[in-house]
Amino acid sequence: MSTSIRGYDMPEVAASSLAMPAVTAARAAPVRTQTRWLVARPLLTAGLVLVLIIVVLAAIAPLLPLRDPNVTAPARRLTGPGVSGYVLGSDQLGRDLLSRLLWGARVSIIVAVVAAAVAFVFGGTIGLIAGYYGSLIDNVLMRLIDILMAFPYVLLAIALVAALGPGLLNALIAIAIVNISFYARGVRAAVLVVRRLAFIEAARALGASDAHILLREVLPSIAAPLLVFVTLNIGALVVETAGLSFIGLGAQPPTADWGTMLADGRQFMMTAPHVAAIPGVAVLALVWGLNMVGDGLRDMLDPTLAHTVR
Amino acid sequence: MPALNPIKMQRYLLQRLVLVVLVLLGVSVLIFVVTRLTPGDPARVMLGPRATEQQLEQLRVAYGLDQPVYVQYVSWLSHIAHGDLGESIQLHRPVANEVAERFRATLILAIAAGVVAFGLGITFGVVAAVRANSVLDHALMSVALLGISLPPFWIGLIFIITFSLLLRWLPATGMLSPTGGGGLDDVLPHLVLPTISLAVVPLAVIARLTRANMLEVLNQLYVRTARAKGLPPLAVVVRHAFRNALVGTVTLLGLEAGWLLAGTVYIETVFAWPGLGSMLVNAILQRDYPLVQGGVLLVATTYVLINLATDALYVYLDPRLRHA
Repeated sequence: MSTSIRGYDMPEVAASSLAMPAVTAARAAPVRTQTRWLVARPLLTAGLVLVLIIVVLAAIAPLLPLRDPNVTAPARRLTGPGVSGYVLGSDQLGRDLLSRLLWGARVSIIVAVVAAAVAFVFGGTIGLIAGYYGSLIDNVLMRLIDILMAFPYVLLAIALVAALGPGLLNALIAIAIVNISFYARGVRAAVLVVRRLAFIEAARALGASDAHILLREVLPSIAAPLLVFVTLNIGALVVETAGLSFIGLGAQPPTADWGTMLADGRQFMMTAPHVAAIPGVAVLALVWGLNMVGDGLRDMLDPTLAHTVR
Repeated sequence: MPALNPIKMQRYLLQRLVLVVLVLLGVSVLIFVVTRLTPGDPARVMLGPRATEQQLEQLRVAYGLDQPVYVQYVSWLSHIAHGDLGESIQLHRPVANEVAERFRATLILAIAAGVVAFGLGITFGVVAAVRANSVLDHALMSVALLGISLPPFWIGLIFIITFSLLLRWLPATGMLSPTGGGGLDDVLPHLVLPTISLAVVPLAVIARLTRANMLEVLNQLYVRTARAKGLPPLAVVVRHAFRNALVGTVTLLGLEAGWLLAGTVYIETVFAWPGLGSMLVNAILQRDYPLVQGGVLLVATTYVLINLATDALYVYLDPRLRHA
């Protein structure tokens, strides 16, 4: 059985491939072999390039010769791309869209990554414990997760943000809480695959504590499918963060974030459609890149699937 | 094929049903806690800043807001048992009526999108798998990968800009036009853009999964046997492979139903569709506790029941599970 985030399969990696031989080999190999290795995986490479471009641009935004993302210029509002020095045009307050896009990328990426990390720590712990101990503990924990999953997640996130008050930090907390259930289920499913394997048995026979077995034996052995899971999940989180900001529950003005930029653009769809179109393209590009990386990793780590495709 | 064991089946479904009730009880507690955590006094929100303390007190008593939270919870639960969801603080009408009306609109949208997503998704997935590694396969799967990356609310905006504002083909907002008769011919044009916006992501997800499932099944020995027997290729694909691949796709039914219900929140906001999603966003922001509780409970119940039905369907389609 496989678990999934919105239908992304959690790959069930065969025990033999868990050591990620391909990755280790690439790390140790000379540059030319590495290049060849990347060329042989166009999906992974294209995704990595796309994600890297966006992340690097976001990281160096303060160093780039950009206008201040929050400085308004009422006289030059809603200019089109390329007009009077605005590479991507300006919004309804005359703010530079390119600048807001790159500064907004920092916000969107950080929120998604931190939310994923929080969800991973809590959900992963629940999943590890439930999957490893099984029986009653598993049943109780998973029924609690069922309750969390009985809400369509967007609705739960909205309710939580409403309870905590709108704002970027609260949106992050809500998104993290909502995603705990995905991580709990995903990690549990992966643990179920490995927990009966001989090396776990061996560790137990050697007298290792449960904590040691969980953290030093089980967790590393499910690292490969987890990596795919996290990559795809961060993409989903970028969309969710933008969604909450879009309906006014995330980032608050004047903070630039892709979701609020979309919401701003929505009001001027008739006169200046580019204001709404551009931040959406940014979300799409980042999520698309992450999904390509996730797919690429999965094909690489899951030999059965790769075999089927080839 | 092992014989069907009706007693085991019944026990399994009964167990699931008990669990559903427990989960829904948990959901009701969670809704209550979350709404009560919300800062802001609903009486104040409703009566405005100039209301006197006495007026506020009257309203609190009228809606039971002066009682301890657990008393409010028990009384709410006992009312639900009698089919009474309470009265909306903002709208001054029974929650049940409001929620039922809104739910109808959401169902129309979600079912339309579900039909499109599953119909086209399964078709594309099967075609891609049968023509694996062809140009068509690569094209379909590239589009699907792009599809799962699209933010649904943004698709909605782009559709409105393109098809409503520029081309003027379809209406941008609402479910009915003010002058229309309210019949099917009025709803349909309004339904097209929100349906496609809502369907794009699940369609891509379903296509990808169906392809993977089909490929797995097509590699099985019994498919090879069927081919070796000289059966026509179409019969092998449809009768032998597709029926087994479908079992895997069915698991997505519950998941995607949840996604469709959740996605309506954004899509309804973008298209001003008079459904449950847009109602809930407003109700949450207005601190309309009874409306939030009723609406969320309805959505959660629907979702849990769809998942129950999915499990039952899964057991029905895969006889091996009946003995698991």
